[in-house]
Amino acid sequence: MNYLEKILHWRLIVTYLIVVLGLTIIITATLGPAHISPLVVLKMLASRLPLVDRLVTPSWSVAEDTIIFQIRLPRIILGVFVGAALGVAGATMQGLFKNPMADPYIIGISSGAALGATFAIAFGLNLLGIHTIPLMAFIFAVGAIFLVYNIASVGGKLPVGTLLLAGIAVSLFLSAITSFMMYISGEKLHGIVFWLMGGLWARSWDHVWMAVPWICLGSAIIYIFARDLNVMLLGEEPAQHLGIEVEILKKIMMVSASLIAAAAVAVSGIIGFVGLIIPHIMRILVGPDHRILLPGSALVGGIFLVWADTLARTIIAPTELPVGIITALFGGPFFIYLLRKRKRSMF
Amino acid sequence: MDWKKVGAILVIAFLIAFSGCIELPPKVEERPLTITDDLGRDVAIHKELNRIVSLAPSNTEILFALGLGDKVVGVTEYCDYPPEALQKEKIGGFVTVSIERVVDLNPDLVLADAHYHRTLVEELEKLGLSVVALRSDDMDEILEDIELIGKITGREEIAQELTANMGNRIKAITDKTKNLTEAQLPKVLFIHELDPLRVSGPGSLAHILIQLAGGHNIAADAKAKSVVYSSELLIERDPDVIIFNKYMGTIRITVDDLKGQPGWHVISAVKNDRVYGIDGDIVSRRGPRIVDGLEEMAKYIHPELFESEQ
Repeated sequence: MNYLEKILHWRLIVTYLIVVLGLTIIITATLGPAHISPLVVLKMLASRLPLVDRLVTPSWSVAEDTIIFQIRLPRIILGVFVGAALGVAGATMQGLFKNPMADPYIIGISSGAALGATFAIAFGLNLLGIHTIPLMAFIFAVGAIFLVYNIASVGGKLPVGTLLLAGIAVSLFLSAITSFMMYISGEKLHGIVFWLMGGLWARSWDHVWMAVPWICLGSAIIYIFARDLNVMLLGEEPAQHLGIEVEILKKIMMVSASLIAAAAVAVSGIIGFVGLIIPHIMRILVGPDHRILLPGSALVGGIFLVWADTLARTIIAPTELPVGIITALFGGPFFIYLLRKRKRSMF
Repeated sequence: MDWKKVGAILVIAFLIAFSGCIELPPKVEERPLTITDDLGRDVAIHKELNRIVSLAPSNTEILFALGLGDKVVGVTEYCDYPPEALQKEKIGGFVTVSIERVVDLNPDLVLADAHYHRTLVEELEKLGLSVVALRSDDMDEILEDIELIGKITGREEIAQELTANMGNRIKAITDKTKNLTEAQLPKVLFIHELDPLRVSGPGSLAHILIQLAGGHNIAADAKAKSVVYSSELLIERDPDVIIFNKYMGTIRITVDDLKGQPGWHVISAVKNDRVYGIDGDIVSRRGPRIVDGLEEMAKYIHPELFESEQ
């Protein structure tokens, strides 16, 4: 396959995935425990679109309008972005560390975020209303990253092995503090446990606006350096010889990936599996080139998380499940199936 | 065959079998007294009780209500009612009880929770302590447990007076609510926490109180006593009354916070200003104050029936 063909092929894949994502959003918007007919939901969606809005006459109640536009839709959109963020961050971390075990949380983001959220919940902080917990989680996650980063950097260099170990050490330390706070938090334990399980429940447009700018900015920066990330797969020294500023690249990628993961974790808690498995699945399906792997992981991550969350909110309605349970329950066996089917090198 | 012998044996067997019935019921002061606790264990109480450790806030409230405050030597960190309970020695949290401290207090009786302290009860028993575990799932059981504690501690009369009074207050509510038709039951939701939206499902004490107070819990079809509830169903089912725990686990939340939740402005309870905060302890602790909780809930759910009572 020559270069042009390859580009064309990639564009086809991305176009296809964008169509699937669009359909996913529309279909999942019609699914939910509230009894609103799918046809009405489609009409409601059309009424908000330019051009076609005049063709639709409103025939729904205020409550139905609220359910779709203030509860279901923000949750779906947030799911798309959180899933995409975890997919991109996971792919980046795996490429950077050249380690299939790497995930978005590997250098302490989740434990930092968990500690921040636990602080906010255990002490009942409520300075900024619903923004309090996400903000605390975000600040602590970013703090954890900088801590790990500073521990691991030696004379301006950032050896990935040290970074990984520093990440694990800091994670364990922060988790210990979180565990202690959970232990003494008494009746607040409920809130902390639910946050740690990860969920898109009770999410609003506010949460979307909180997270999306960071996710878009970070993903864009990473995508610009997709080719350099490919070269990095050869090893740091060859990459240096091929004209890549390895140390600078590592720092940019690390900070960008961490930022988007932190933004995702802040609004959704710790949703496991997506950031680890989606990049692997995409590597099996579209190959290891980051120019297609990154957008592919973002789109499939979004699609996967939205479907998982749709199950989480409908499967035992009126009760809702933490979406992390669904992602692992369905993602695990599917990933094993792929592994068995295509036993070839992951990198 | 010697029918006389057979007859004699039958008579003896009969006497042995029914000897328990012939015995007079034990007086309050009579020891040892054997009772069956809520774990189905038979516990013998040998002496007069002077040092009691309570492992649950509800037990503490019952003990104080029976006038046994001065005999309580240890409570949990959550035992904050009555205020005198705060002065007592702490034996740890509710789930995180320090066995060492309990033993150190040298109690004659430990009052545990049959739900949370199953294994702890065994351990304490091995250490030679007499333990009674209690757990009540509805109003009748709460009254029974109060009477049981009364019996164990020799305060039977006070306990019966208390439960009679509680029973009358419950009846005063249910007399007015029991004849309401299905259509007259307002739709109610009891909220514990907002993020995620955690509510009281079937089997929970709050659910029982809603029913007694003449309301219909819209989360009655949920899968557990305490569940994360679908936000969109909350709007679709449109509760007439929302009651929430004022001191929610996560954050202290106000009526305004609740009304400001995205999309909630369309809910009848919000539109009609029928969102009420309640002290979560009085609707969840299985003690004498549960009736206060019921009365408060009844006032919120049926102001037309109960408002003037205050």
